[in-house]
Amino acid sequence: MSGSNKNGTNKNGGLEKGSSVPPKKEATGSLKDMERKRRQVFKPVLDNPFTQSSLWPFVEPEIAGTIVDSLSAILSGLGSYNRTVQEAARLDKGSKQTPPEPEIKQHITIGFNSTVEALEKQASIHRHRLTTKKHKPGKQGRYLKYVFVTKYDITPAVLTNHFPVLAFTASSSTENKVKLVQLPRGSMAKLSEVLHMENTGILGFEAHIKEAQFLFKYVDEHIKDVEVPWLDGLFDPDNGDFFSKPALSFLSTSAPILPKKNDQKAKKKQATTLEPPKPTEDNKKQKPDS
Amino acid sequence: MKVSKAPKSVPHKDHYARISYLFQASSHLALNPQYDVLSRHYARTLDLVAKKTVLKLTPALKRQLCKKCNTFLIPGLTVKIHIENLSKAKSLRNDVLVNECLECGEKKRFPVGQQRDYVLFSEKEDVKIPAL
Repeated sequence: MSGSNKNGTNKNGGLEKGSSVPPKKEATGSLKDMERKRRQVFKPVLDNPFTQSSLWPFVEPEIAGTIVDSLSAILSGLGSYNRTVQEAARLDKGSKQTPPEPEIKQHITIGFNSTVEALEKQASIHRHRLTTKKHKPGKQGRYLKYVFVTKYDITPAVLTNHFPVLAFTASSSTENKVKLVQLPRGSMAKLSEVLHMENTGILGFEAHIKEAQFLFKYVDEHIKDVEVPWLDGLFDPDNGDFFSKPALSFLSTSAPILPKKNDQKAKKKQATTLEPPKPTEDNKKQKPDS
Repeated sequence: MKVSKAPKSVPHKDHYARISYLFQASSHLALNPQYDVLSRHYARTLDLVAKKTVLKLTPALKRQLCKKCNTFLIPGLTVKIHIENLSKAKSLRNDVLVNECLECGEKKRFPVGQQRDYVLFSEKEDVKIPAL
């Protein structure tokens, strides 16, 4: 069940378009299956009309580089704190001499669950408005304004697909939208090293952190807000008439070539060609027997 | 090398158009608390039409609707997302992404840790050809 191998054969199948025997895609191992010929087919498939264009705000590579650098500068204090705490815990558990917690720790979220939870709490104002059920809006404790996601380091894509829409729904108004920033490949390793925490790929910041003001200004200048056209009605009820064409496309896949079931024409042909000799053979066979 | 071309027209295009329309209507009504039942009704009709006419829909479309109550799932508004790890060692292999519908509480689980390089069939490279 090696994923890479599967992909490899699939790619070959795609390249050898038109040839009647592309390699078998999912070999079950039996010889009969290996022998079976496959042909290329195109299956129509309907896609989500809303996910046709990328919702992530575009970040130029140079800008992303400076953002990652300044992020690591801002978080270095927290990182050294984390390291001393970890070392103290490892060396001896008795003494609880830990340095004072950096203030920034209270104003940022690190990791998937805490960031998503905070954003969902922010979005609960809208949820309160949208549901007829009685539902308490969450206490507005914190407001994450800047969310950084190392999109290319986090796989599979299901883990990050919902962030644009979530950032949009978590915004309190069109003027005060949550900024979503995608960071380039390799930035997860950098952030994890700075913070001394494994697999740190998602960060959320509140807007009033002093150390990070220059970064926020830079982000505001260079990165656009999240745009989700089909959700515009959330902030402005009159502006909710988004409609797009059906997103139809063809999938190029392969299908096994099987003999037709219940093929009347083929049966007739067989019958006409095979019938004349049959009785004679039968007769010959029957004669010695009888 | 011979390259066979994709067919020019899609058979039963009207069914696909209907589903796309129902999907967008459902999303539009999901934003209005007055019509939440209608929104779910449209989503249910979508599902029934797709089954009856045997159409192929991508996971990106199907996953936006709750399997149980047909609510249109919008992150932050109608669905709660979190990663769960029930293993004792908290190994990354056992990460499970859970999407919980806030309307009915149905949970859809994606065992993301099992195969990190998994790519959906519809998102593989060179597989999709846009229909004219």
